[in-house]
Order: sequence, then C-alpha cells, then structure tokens
Amino acid sequence: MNLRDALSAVAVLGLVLTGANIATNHLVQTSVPRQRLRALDESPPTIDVLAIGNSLVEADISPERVEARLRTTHTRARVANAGLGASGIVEHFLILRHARKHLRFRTMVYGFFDHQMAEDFVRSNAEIIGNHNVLYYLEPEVALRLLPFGWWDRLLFAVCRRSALLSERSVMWSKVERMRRSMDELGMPAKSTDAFGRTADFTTLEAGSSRAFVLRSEAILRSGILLAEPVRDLFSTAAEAGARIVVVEMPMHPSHLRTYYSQPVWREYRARTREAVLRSGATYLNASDWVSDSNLFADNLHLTKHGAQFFSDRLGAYLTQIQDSVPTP
Amino acid sequence: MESSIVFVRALLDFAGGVNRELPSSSLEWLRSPILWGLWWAVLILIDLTFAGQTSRFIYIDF
Repeated sequence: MNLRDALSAVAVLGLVLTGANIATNHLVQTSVPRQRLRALDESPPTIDVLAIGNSLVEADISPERVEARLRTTHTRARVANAGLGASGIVEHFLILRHARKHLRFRTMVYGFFDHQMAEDFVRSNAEIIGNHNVLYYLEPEVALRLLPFGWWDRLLFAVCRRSALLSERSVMWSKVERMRRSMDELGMPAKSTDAFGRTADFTTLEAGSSRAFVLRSEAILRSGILLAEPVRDLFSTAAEAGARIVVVEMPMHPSHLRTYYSQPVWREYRARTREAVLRSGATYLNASDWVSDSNLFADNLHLTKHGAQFFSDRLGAYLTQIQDSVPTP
Repeated sequence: MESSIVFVRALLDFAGGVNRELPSSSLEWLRSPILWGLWWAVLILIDLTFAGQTSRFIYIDF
C-alpha cells in the first residue's frame, strides 16, 4: 500500500468513526442520567425535599409517598428524587451542583450504606462506565479535582470526555450485555431479576464476608476520614444553599444487618460517622433497621415497590416532624 | 473442503496483514483503500463494543 492509499484508508476510517461518534451522541440523549438531570431541570423552582444518592435512594424513596406525608402539614409539598443507580459520591456532588443551578430546596436527604461516604468513588478512568459517565459531562474539571487520578488517568479522562464513542461506550455495552444474558439463559431457568438487574449481582456490591467488612471498617477508622472530600463538599454546598441536610443510613436487608451491621466495629464506625455528620451541620438518621421484613426487599440492597412505599411513609413522617425547624428557601 | 479452508485461511492472512498475496486474482478489489478504512473502522467499533468488560459485575442502567 502506497502513502496515498494509506491516507485514503485513514480518511475513510476517520469518516466512519466520526459518523459513529455522532450517532452515539444522538443515542445517549435519552440515557438514564440525562433523563434524571432533565427531570431536575423541569422541577418547580422551589421544592421541599431533594433526595440524592445511588440506586438505594433511587429505588427506596418514593417522592409521591414522602409528599403525601409532608402534605399533612404543608399543602404544596414537592419532593424530587435525584438518586442515580451505580453512581458514586463525586457524581452525587456534581448532581447537587447541577440541581442548585435550577432549584431551591428546603431539605436535602442524602442516603448511604456501608462505607459509601468514605470511599465510594471511581479509582481510574477505566471504571467510568454506565452512569458514572456523568463525570465526563457534569463539570469534568470539578470531577478531576476530586478524583484520585494519576497523570495517565487524567490524560485518558481528557480524551474520553471529548468522544461520545469512548465516554458513552456503555450504551453499546448494555446491548451486548442484554444479548449475553439472554444467551446465558438458553436452556436454563431464568435468573431472578428486579428493576435494577439480576438479583444475585447485587450481592457482589456487599463486602463478601464479615471479615472483609470488619477489616475495611477498621482501615477507614484508622485513616480517620469517614467523610471523603466530595461528601464534605456535598454537605457544605447544600448548607450554603440554606438547606437542612438529613443523612440517612438506608434500610438494609435483614441478612445484611446480621452479617455486617451486627459487627461491633460497625457500632464504632456508625458513631464516628454520626459525629462527623453532626459536625458538618447535618442530621443523622439511622434507618438501616426500619424494614425488617425480607419480603420487602427486591435483592440484598434494594427495596421492592411496596418496601419503598413503607419506608417512604416513615421517612416522610420523620421529615414532617423536623419540618418546622427547616430553614425556608 | 480442504481447498475452501485453504482459501479462507489465505483470505484471513491477507486481512490480518500476514500475507500480501490474495488467494485469487478475482479478489483484487479487496486492495481498495476505502475497504481497508472500512475494515479498520469495523474492527475498532467491534473492539469498543465488546472489549473492556471484566468478569466482575458491572452495573449498567438499562
């Protein structure tokens, strides 16, 4: 192949990849994170409660049920759930910053589980897939300031965020994954699924063993950093917006409570986390044992629809109680 | 059957750059730079679509 032919081939390659990039960019306009952000943009300018967190918040907090409780004392109560599945604490901070541009809120509810507030962030650019990719387009400079990236990952981040083909690669992955899952079940019994995917997959988000959980808890306690910088920034941003902050230890499956939260180290971890939260000017609400019926859980972490209604009723009642002392926006 | 296998192997060797000779003179059009550009684009897109997923559970919001 001579130079002219090689250049022609490269030109064709460039054209096809540019076309694929444009097509991907078009496809992702309806992605789940963008739908969430649009819903926030279209919310009334002033709301009562803004819920932020990962899939636990997304699945477990029913805005309608919380609103219904709040309306017993406040007729026009509005609640927005900005929980985003498979997101970390840096994404939560960026979502709050995005919400703040359009919304005023009286209370921010921040839901967490396990060691989330100390360490739940991506460690490398390769981990930014799925909903994590809001990091690429919601204030990427702020994301880079908070992510523990070395120079190589910073470089990859800078390249990926400029290409939809790279930054939104999970759009295609999800289609391949669906195909894989359907092939996986050929001739086999269907695997149990819920609104977030295969039920068994979510056990891998837990520590795996009580020993691993204890060791991780002890390591974080030794470090003394129970609230990572993005979480501290999240709280200070909400406080600057004049909102009351309620940090909720989200309901956990009875087996999770037995295996992990019954460990003595978790009592110390919870106490130290509570202290750190209170020092930040937030309120700490331990709701981890609010749902004791395992039938109200869709998997080891998420509540079913009925479970979410049950929990939201109780959360709404709690928020109604503290409403009088909530600052007015 | 054997000749078909030899033909396919020669074709794959050509596509992979192992061999510059085409298995048949009737396939000279495969040397077109446009086809090479398309071929590499397809390879890159397949790579982007399938590679990178690990055996660890990766949550993808469908």
